[in-house]
Amino acid sequence: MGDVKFSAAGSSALLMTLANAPSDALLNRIFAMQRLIALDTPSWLIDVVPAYVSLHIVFDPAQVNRFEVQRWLASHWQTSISDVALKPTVHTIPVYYGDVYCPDLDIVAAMKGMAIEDVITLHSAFVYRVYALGFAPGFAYLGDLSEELRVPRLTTPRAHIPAGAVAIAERQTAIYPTASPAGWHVLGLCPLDLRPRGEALSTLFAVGDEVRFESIDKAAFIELGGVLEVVS
Amino acid sequence: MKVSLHVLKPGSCCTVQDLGRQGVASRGFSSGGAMDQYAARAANALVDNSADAALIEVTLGGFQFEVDGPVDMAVCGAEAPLQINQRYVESWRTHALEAGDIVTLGFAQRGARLYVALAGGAVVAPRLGSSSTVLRESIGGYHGRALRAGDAVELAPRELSMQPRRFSVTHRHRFGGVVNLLASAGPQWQQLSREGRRRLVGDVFQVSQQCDRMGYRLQSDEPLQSLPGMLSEGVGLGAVQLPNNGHPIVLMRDHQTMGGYPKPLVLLPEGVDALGQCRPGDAVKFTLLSNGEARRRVNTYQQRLQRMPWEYVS
Repeated sequence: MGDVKFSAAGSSALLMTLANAPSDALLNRIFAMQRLIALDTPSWLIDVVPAYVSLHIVFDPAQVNRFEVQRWLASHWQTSISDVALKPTVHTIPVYYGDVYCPDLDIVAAMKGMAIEDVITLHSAFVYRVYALGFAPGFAYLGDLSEELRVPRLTTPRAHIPAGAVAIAERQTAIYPTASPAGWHVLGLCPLDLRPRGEALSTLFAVGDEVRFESIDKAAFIELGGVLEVVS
Repeated sequence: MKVSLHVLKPGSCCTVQDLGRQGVASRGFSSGGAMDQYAARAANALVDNSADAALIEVTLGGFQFEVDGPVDMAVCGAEAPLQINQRYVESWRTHALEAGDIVTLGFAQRGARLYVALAGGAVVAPRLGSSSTVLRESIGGYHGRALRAGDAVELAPRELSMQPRRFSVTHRHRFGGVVNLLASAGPQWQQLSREGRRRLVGDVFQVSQQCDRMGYRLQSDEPLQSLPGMLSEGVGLGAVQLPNNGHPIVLMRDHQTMGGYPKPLVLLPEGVDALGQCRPGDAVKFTLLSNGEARRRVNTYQQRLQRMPWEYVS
């Protein structure tokens, strides 16, 4: 996995780069590292944001200096290698790949020279991992998308796509928890409400989780509480 | 007794804020919090509130409200005319309001943000340990949104009759000239060419129209060297992003938690506060500090924030 690299990210943050490219093995180790940190969180540690190949660490400079933080992180990273007994949470997410509602299905199929059915099969056949959280509360960056489905972002982003839109861009796929502007191609609609819930604003996904999509029909979408909206 | 603030004119953007949420970026939430933490803490100190009491952040002024009971108030931050019942009064000072008093914050002449603290502090349902509003996420503050005319913000009960306090002129904000933004190196500083570095910490930039609680876009006559895009990584408060168009974007209190643009600099907390008081057209420049210097400045500023230099009005 190579050497980790530390870079200063201002006076109270560090960026820890763990590898050149994302991988399942790296993600497992980041997941293990997060668990280790959760078990033993020092008072100076404010935030750890994992993303693909890096951790962004925010600390309190009044309590600790960056070299101490680096040493602490390096030692936890070493320990994380032996933590193998982890089982990521698995989510099955129902998706209505409704071509009338999601015109991008057609566009992606045409771009890739395949039938819409194949696009749906390819998208729902794989188990994805959560590589990062961000963009909006409840939004998870899922990867890796099958090479055969990879398309660039839209040249002109849409000003609005509905909550629950399931979309793809390059090697990633995601579900939009709320209505949003978006530059990704929308393949389907998810009937589940993925917005933060309750007092604790809890969200469904965590980094390292596994996600698979299950194709459902229009009737099931509506039964699960989905609201149909044409993506235009 | 219970006292509330009733909004008469909401101005362009008024939100309930405190010092912000900590430790929520890992879950994708913005920290929020007062854009100018010095002025926010100053206003709270003047009415004897705790530093993290919820107060009202007013962008560029135009805010008017009435109180329905006696309460102490202070306004700090941008330079804007302040009136109580159409009588001009001083900012950066405690004022005792009576039931029915109407407070008007005029349009800011210089600076961008004003903080209205009322004794006791605003009472809103805390979210993830903070009362700060993040509009983009519809979270926190007054029902997750900006204040509107007709809203009533309840204040925590408080015993009356404190001796008024003030900040001497030397401890108030001074505006004017090119704003010097103190920064230290960001993760991609090394990627800039010598010329790129020289321009980033030498040029004067203008604050563009695109500046809000999430980020400030800056402009210079000629775009800076652009750097290749990267895999998204965690981004922090004050990070100076350099997108392909060569015009920097500084991440402010409501910033997103992930980004794929290179970040050659990161502002110190005092730089973030200073930029939070800038408005479109203001001139700014970056000053790069070594890690050691930055650490000392951060500590000094932290001490300044914690020991607010107010004095009693004699």
